[in-house]
Amino acid sequence: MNQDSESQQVSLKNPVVAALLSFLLPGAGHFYQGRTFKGIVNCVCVLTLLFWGLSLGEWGIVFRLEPLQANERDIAQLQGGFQEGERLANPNLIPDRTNTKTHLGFLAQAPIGLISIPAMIQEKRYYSDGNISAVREEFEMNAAAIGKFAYRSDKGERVLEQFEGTLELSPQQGEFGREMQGTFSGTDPQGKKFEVMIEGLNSIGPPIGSETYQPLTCFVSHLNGQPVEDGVLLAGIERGWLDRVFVPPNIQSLEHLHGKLGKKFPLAEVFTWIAGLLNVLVIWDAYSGPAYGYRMPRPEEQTANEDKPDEKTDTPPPAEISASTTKTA
Amino acid sequence: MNWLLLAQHDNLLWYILPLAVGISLVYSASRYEEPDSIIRRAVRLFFQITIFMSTVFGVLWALSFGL
Repeated sequence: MNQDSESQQVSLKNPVVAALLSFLLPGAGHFYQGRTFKGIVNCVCVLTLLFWGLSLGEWGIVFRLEPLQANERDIAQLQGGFQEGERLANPNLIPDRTNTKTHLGFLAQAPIGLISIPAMIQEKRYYSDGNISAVREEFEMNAAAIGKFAYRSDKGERVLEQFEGTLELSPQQGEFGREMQGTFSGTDPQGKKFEVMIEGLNSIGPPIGSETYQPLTCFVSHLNGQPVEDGVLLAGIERGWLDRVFVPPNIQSLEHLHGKLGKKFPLAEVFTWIAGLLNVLVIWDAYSGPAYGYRMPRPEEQTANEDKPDEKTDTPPPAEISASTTKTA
Repeated sequence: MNWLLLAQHDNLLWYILPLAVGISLVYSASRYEEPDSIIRRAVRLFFQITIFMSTVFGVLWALSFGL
């Protein structure tokens, strides 16, 4: 290494702090060390690939535990691993950790704390005891909803209508005790207004889930003031962003996303994997400095080094440096 | 005509370009400190990656010709 290059030193400040900052936010460790150019390069490149991938994958591709596929569930069932009957009864209602396996792609995403830490927090929230069907509990709700309303007409035909509107529920005293009652008022795709009366909640999905909508079914007694037979409301209440992003998917939502995105699903994953793996380099660079040295040797320097191959061994390494420019990869 | 269709279509192969740019820059930034060295090495690496992947694509395209 030439004299000019050896004189260039890189101050790493506290390398552990820098590495930690780079883990939390790509490039942050370099900014902390005052290595602005590299901080910008790392931050822009890694975050661009990461958010591009997340956008392509509709923010549903970062999770540590993935649900078992159908054939894997069959094997698990034969091995007596879980209560299949209970799960198949309404899989949306039971966040079930036993029917999952580690998503290997998460290992590549994990070096970016910006997504891996929220993913771990969301996993903990998703599988917590509180994130279950609240059908037996009393609560009040006033939320925008979409869904379908099915009932039997005067002629005995099954009628299905789509809707979009507002769902209001609250605990009331019903014929057989306390039950959730309320109204749904909205419009169908043609703009026709209607209102249904709800008498009893059948099921409601967990408040935290990877799907955009929290599923809900309830019994309907009246449509626009007229009694109806076998009225059922199948609704979806939009979850807040914090209750659905980075949440482990169930098998239905994962298959839905696969079907919707097609080839872009693995592409989106690859973007996030590469971003994560690149951040390993970023973290390592923040911790120990550049692998080859301060800069590339110039052509004349290369020629000089070839003429004097033993010169380097006679030169002692510079003392008290944070990152040696003579280090090799 | 095929090449025109390939260029116009939302082909996943185009995504390799931004990926190669990102990989080249971050990898080169982890090797050197001086901005000029990083940029020069990144440009060289980008073309190396692109040429290598294009060659692989060409070979696979030739092998699958007529299938």
